[in-house]
Amino acid sequence: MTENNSSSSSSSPPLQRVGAVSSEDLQRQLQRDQMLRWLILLGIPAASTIVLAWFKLTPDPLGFGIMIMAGTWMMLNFISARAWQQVSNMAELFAIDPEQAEARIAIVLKSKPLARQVRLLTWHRLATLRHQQKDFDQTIAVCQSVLIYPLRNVHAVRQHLLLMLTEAQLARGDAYGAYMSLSELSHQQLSLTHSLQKLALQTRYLLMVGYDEAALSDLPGKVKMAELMPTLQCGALHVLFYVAASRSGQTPQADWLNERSRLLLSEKQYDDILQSLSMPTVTPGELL
Amino acid sequence: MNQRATPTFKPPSPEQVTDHLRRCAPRVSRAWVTQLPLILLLVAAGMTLFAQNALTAILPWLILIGVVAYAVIRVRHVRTIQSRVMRISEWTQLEQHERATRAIWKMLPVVQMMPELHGRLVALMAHNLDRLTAWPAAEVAYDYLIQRMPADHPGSIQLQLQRTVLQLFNDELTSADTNLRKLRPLAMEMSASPISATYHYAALLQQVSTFHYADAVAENKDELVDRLRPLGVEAGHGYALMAWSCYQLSLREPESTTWMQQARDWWHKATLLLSTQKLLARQDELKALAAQIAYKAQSQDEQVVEEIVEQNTAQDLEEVHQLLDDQVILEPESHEQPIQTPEKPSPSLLDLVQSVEPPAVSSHEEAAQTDEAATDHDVANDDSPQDDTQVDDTQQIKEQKHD
Repeated sequence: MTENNSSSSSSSPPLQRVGAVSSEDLQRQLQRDQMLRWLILLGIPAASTIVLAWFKLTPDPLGFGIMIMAGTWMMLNFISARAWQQVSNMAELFAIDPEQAEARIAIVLKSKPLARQVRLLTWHRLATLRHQQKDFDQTIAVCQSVLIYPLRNVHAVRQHLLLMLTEAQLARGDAYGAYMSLSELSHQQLSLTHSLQKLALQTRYLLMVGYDEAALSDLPGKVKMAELMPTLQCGALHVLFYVAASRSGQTPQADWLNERSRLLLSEKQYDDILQSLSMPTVTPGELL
Repeated sequence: MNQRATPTFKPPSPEQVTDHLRRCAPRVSRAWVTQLPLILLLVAAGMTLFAQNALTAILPWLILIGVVAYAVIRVRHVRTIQSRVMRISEWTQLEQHERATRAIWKMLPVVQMMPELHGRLVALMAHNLDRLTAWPAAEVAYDYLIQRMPADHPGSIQLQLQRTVLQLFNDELTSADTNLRKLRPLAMEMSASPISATYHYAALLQQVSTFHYADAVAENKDELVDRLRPLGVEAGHGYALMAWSCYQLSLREPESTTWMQQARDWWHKATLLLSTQKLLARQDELKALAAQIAYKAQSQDEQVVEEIVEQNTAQDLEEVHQLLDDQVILEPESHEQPIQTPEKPSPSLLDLVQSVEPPAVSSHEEAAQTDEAATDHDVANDDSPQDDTQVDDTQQIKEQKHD
């Protein structure tokens, strides 16, 4: 699954890369981790207890064996914690040096045995990286692989995976998949940031399937939510609403939204967003 | 914690903020404290090797259970605090500034051992106090953060710029000027970023604060929209300043209509992004411009409507005459329904006249009435100081109209 990057300069060692992955890879890794952990957790204390009892080194070999088991458990967790430190705060690295970030993920994925939660969270980081690289096929594959397994105490990660999955599905034109992901998201209690992201994705989905009226329902509330987003996303959402309003013939709203979006976005950004939607601005009634 | 704003809420004073920040300064735990669980575990392991009696046999297990229980409780405690800080951050985003400020005040002593969360909370406090127009107190919080960050860090530059804006609001013009000169090269390096946009807003605010309206207009006329774009809807405050500058120039040159037209255009842009209430909450001197533009628009509307009313009345009169003529012709044949001159205008005319009622005036009158009637009101919805002056403005406008 991991491979070396041949394009790296000859002076520094080549950066490791994570190749294409599937749900089978994750399943195999989790099984291997579990097997190794049990082997170490039971094997080392058992061996120590036998040795201590054989040579009569302590009056209570069983108690000492259990203490060694506790120590082994802590050591295994320490290995996982060290691995997690490598990939925990990668947001900046994703933006600055994605290759370095990928190399780090590759190293962590190779280390074993990892705690199940750490393995799943490292895959989440991989999904984030692929999503930023706009490799939507791999994003879908990684997100779907991780979402099979329950993520205890990290609901935010599950929600983030669903959001990335929805966006990748929308980018691939998979309306049915996006609908399923969005409906799963709507059953969860989202943070404000995730709610805003969901609003943007939901609007894109509604426009994609032609539910312009639904996209415009509670428009003032949605616009207020959009204002909480960063400028570019706020402007992009205004463009989506503008397209919906102009297609459904709501000219005053369309004009107002268009005027706002032109203040929020530069000419190029505005054109790019329209182009990315593949939805040309239409005069009211043209598409009806 | 109070869910709603109460009438007793008052933003803290700068001295209170200074005291509270001093009392709740972040602390770093000693090395041996962080290593204590590991040391205890090693001691427990050693004790099992030399267990002689029941006490030395049980004690290691008690230590082990104690360490694990402590770790679990500690993790839960940290998670709870993190989720609380996240909630405060959401309240700040949702503009529930009073609620957020209260929560931050209570949370600061709790996060003393977590420097990262402490810094985040102080930044949120500065922002909330800024929005509550407690500018001197907000300046104290910004100062606290700036002193603890590297001067050329982008985060620090942004904070320094925000502090400069507050200095301008607080009429500390000399300090603001020094800071702006210092920050200019750093901000210019990051074009089309929130930092450069904040710089341009601060520079415009400085020109307006020092009455250099012509300079403000000349320097920003063509590029202000591009410059302030990274601020998002907050750019509306900058457009309002530009409108104010144009309005001031129109007062200097009353014969020229272009300045007033430009003021109207910029004000339109500002109100497209932000409500008039929000614009005035930040800078109440803009009320005069808001009232002027509302009055102009109203008077223009009235002029148009009067023309329509005149036309309609003329049409109606013609129709009445026509009917009368017809009646005269028809009179010999039918006496059943005598024609009567209408005493009140037709419903269409009434609708038109009602639509002429200026919404601003009526809403302020309503607000004034409700203010008088209200005995127990919520501070969150209480913008009576603005309303009072606006009612005065509108009454003045009414008097002018009567004259």
